[in-house]
Amino acid sequence: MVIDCHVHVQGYLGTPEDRMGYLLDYADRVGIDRLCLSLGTSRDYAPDVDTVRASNDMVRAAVELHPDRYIGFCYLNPCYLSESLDEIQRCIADGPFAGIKLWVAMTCDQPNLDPICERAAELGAPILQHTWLKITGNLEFESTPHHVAAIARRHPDVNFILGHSGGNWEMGYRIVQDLPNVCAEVSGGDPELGQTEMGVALLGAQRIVYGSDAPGRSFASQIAKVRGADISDDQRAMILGGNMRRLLGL
Amino acid sequence: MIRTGTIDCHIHPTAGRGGPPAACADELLPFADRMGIALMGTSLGPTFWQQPTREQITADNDFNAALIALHPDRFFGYANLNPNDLRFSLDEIDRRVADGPFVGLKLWVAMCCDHPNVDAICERAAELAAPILQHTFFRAGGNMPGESSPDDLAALAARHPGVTFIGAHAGLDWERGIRAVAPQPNILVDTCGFDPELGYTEMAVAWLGAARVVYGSDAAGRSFASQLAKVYGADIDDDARALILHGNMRRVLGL
Repeated sequence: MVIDCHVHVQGYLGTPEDRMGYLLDYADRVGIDRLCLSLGTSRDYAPDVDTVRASNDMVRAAVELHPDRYIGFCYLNPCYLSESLDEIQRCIADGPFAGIKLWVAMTCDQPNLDPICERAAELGAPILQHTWLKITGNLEFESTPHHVAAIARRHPDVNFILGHSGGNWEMGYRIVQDLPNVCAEVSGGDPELGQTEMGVALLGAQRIVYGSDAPGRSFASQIAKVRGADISDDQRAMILGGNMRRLLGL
Repeated sequence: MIRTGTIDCHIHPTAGRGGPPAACADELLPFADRMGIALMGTSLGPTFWQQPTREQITADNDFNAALIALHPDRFFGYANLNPNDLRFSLDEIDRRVADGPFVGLKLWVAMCCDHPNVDAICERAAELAAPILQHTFFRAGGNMPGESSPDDLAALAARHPGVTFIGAHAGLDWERGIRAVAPQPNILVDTCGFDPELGYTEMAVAWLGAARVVYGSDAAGRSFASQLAKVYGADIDDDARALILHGNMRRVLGL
């Protein structure tokens, strides 16, 4: 089973139902069975509570339409802590969402993240945190792998997914290397030689997961990093789906 | 989900870290197997010579001949030529293609293909039904001396309707390259040379038809997987995808 741990709602062409169907057509072409879906069509860096709820409702609609394909990740803006905890209750505890998605509203080392992580631990929900190390400087509240390392160290019982492996994966892997509860996700850049191989060498295959960031990036270009990597077939199977099955209890 | 039986029309024997042909094959084949590549068209040699001498041409073609002899079911060859040396080029076509085992010709950057010397080569290629794999770039900063653009290839192909040309890299600036070669039905384009950009394969199919697009990687300098992604992920029907991955090259090679 191939699981793409990092997919977003498609925001153009046709009805919402059409769009989520198109995305599955593309997934089928490349052989992806399950897609972890998050964010709505808003790309507001600091969404208000209504926008967050509306985003999660878009994901919920897609999951309800294709429950055998989409897995919901609940988007939160941790600046609104009590509402975030309510949203975890509404989406994950009451179902059908399985994980949490955090983007760029607040760096993930902040104290507001601690209650969110405690709730994630209770629910067994992995947290997919966007990370980047930009040479021109990150957005004001955009997390780096250093921020993920800080929060992951405080919450060893939560599984974190390092979105984009920090973009600069040569640094990203090394920053989280000593944290067994952090998996690194491969999406974000062009399919560069050695990305997956270095992840396997530094973190172990059990800590690398395939994600595409589709539809902003293509399934095909991102999965090429894993399918073309010089690793064993057992390692490839873990990265393409086995590790996410473990994290999600599938 | 890996598609087996794929033909890669464009590789070079740069694997093997400078070792002999067997070392090159031993390094390259596991990568090809992983991505379902059944057959690869090899040309040039372990080192790329922009203006190769007779000795360098001979060494390159000997290297690929040895690779083909080791794995005749996995490799086919394009004879490397330097058209500045026309007499030697025509002799090399006889030695490598007429007498086998090479099936096509490879022209890189030694001479722009819109030159009369290349006409004589094309006439011999037509007699032997040998396809010509011609490197083409539209460089933003201007091409190298002797480097062909898709415009140059279109001019050559118009003079030789009986020869099948593969425009390597589709000119790199493929939005221009595809349009430059579109009027010449005897030019196909391959898929290698740039990152897997959305829309390349779709545009090539829309402008040229799926019968004129062939998968090529430029391995070992580029990976099979990243270049294959352009075809695997393209928004085209499965019949078109099958043509690009193997059907067209089977036709070109007479397989």
